[in-house]
Amino acid sequence: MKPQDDQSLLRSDRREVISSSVGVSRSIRLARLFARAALPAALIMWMLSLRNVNVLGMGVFGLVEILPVAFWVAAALLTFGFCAALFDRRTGDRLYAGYVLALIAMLHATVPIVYGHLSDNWAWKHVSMIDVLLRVGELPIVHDRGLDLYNQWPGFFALNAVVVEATGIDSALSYAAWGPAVADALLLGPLIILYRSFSRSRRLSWAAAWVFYTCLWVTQDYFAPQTLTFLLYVTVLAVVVRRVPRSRGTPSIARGEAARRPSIGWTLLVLSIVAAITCSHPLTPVMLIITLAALAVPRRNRRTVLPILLGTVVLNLAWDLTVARPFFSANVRDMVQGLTQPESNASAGLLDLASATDAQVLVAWTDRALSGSVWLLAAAALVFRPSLRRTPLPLLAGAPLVLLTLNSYDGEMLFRAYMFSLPAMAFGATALLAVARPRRWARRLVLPVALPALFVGFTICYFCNPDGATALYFTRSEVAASRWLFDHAPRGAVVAAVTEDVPAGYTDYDRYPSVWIELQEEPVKKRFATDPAGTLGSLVADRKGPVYLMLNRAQEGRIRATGLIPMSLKKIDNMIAGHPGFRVVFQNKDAKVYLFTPTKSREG
Amino acid sequence: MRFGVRSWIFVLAAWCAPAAMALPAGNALRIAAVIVDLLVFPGLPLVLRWSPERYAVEGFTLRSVQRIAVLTGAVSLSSAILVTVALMLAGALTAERALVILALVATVATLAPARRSTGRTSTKGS
Repeated sequence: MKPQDDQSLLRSDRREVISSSVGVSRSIRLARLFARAALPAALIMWMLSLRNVNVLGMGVFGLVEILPVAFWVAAALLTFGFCAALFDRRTGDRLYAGYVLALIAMLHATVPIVYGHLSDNWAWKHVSMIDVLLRVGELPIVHDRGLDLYNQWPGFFALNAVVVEATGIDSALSYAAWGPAVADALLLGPLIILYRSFSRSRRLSWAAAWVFYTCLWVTQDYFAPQTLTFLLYVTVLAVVVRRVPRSRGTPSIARGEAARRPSIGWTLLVLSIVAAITCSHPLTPVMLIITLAALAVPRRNRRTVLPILLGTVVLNLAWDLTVARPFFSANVRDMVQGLTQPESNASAGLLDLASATDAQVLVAWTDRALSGSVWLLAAAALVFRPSLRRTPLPLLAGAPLVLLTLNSYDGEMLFRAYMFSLPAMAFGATALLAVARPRRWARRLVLPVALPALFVGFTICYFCNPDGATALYFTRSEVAASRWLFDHAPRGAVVAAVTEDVPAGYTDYDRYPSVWIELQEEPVKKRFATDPAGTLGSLVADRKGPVYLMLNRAQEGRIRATGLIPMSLKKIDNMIAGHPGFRVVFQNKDAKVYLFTPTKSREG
Repeated sequence: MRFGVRSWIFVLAAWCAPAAMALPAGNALRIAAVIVDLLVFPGLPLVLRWSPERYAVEGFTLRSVQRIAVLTGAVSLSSAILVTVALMLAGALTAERALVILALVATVATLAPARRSTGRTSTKGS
């Protein structure tokens, strides 16, 4: 590669514009016209395409198989329009921002528009937490369901409780479905600031943002604490990296005002963000400490990074030894044990493809290909683009992977490490793809081929739920059945279900103890498949209130897709229907609620 | 001590959210006031007081506004989280209290006398 090719990474577009403005070719004028026309056309077509989508027609491939052709045409228009915008060096920030925000809308607003209400059962759970916090003033500890985490990292819930109470809306349910779209849109600001620290090229920064959003398939951006703390994490990195020198003898990207020595006030501002992260999520502060420690390795960065790193460590220790101490006391043995099992930590969460369904295999291979490509391209970028090695990019991309070997985080660490390293990796991958190819035709083709491929890959990973598409979507009948249950069940009643796929299943969780069969030990799950009454009776033996068992369509989808119990829900329902201990108290087309009266099993 | 028009605008705007709670529940104006205030205060006066970006005030560009906006939003949200968590741990969490404390912080950050900066601006990076 010629040295000047690599230098173009750090070059601002202004110089490129000056050099190219001598004669604007016809192809550039056409590209400019297309880029300006394609954005509004794609948005209008996308909105029109979402009318009358038949959600109930979803099969194993989820939204992908029910979205109309117009949606894919809109996506193609948007992607090729963005490529045309990149082709024209005079494209301004506003048009690029319009394209990336439209991309976020297509990827993350499609689900709430088509479904019409909140779909993710974890997001429902978090809404229930906020409702309880509003009623009680705290998050009561319920030791038997793993909910003590929420009590010890309550930042996200406390913030939302204040939003709900201050605005006077009924519940966070009013806006929770829009969580991914809003959070990803807010993330764009810090992301672009971070990318501008790597390169002054406008085109490269916006192309990297596009790649980032189309590779963020890990579904960790729903209405949840980690979504908020990831936004704050990227913000901290953006403001810190902007102030570190690029390389020895080279000043930071921040010019003039920001090239001063970091003031105490600035450090306190950044630490206030760190403090909010610390009291909102257990994993993000650990990721932040590791990333800041990596950033502090080069001596030139230490003046800026060390005060923030030390402050982050002190804040975390203070929180973990006080408010979060019960959690650490209870789990310290597992954490230490995790340190000795790096291989199983790294592979935990990977699907066993031998026993997977066709849809699961497709999703698994697509997400592996997507993630592997980004990792490989980012690594290649560091080899072939030496200027990137002078930025903090390698440290930001590599640091989160360290945690991969330390803990499995209930099988999620692989996905979390990928997510935390993605901002830097997306930039590296884009730098390799987008900048100065040896042949002109190759440079023109690489992005128009890569960007649509990434869009399709994202939709397969994000819109097809490997755990069963029907488990992703709650019908209005299912919501109605759950509402009926909690409206009629007396305080202290036990709420039971086979899986957690019950809308608002954690409503007033401090008043209604719950029993989820999927969270029981493997022998209990197997026994439930053959003797549901006896198994449920033994599980609620020490409970005093009446027991309600809810079976619904989403649970059936989850069981069919994952095989978490060796029996279909329909067969279990047939067994229950014929048992004298169960009586149907509510029924509609998608859900049934049974009142269970244990007989001998209570003693057993 | 004299305060500029900007200071008084900041103070009035910071108290909009607590005042908006007098409007009916779910009123659009109330929702807008609360959301905007939670995203802007006390972040904006704190950022303009302490962030290096404050030196760009005389020559705002789209990019400097973007940096100030991002830091303002993050500091405001973080302040709201810290205040609400502190109130929750004290067993005194209500929206009124949280909004009043945030407005007080914004008021103090706006009206407190600033230390005159003695630092020298480096021009190395320009």
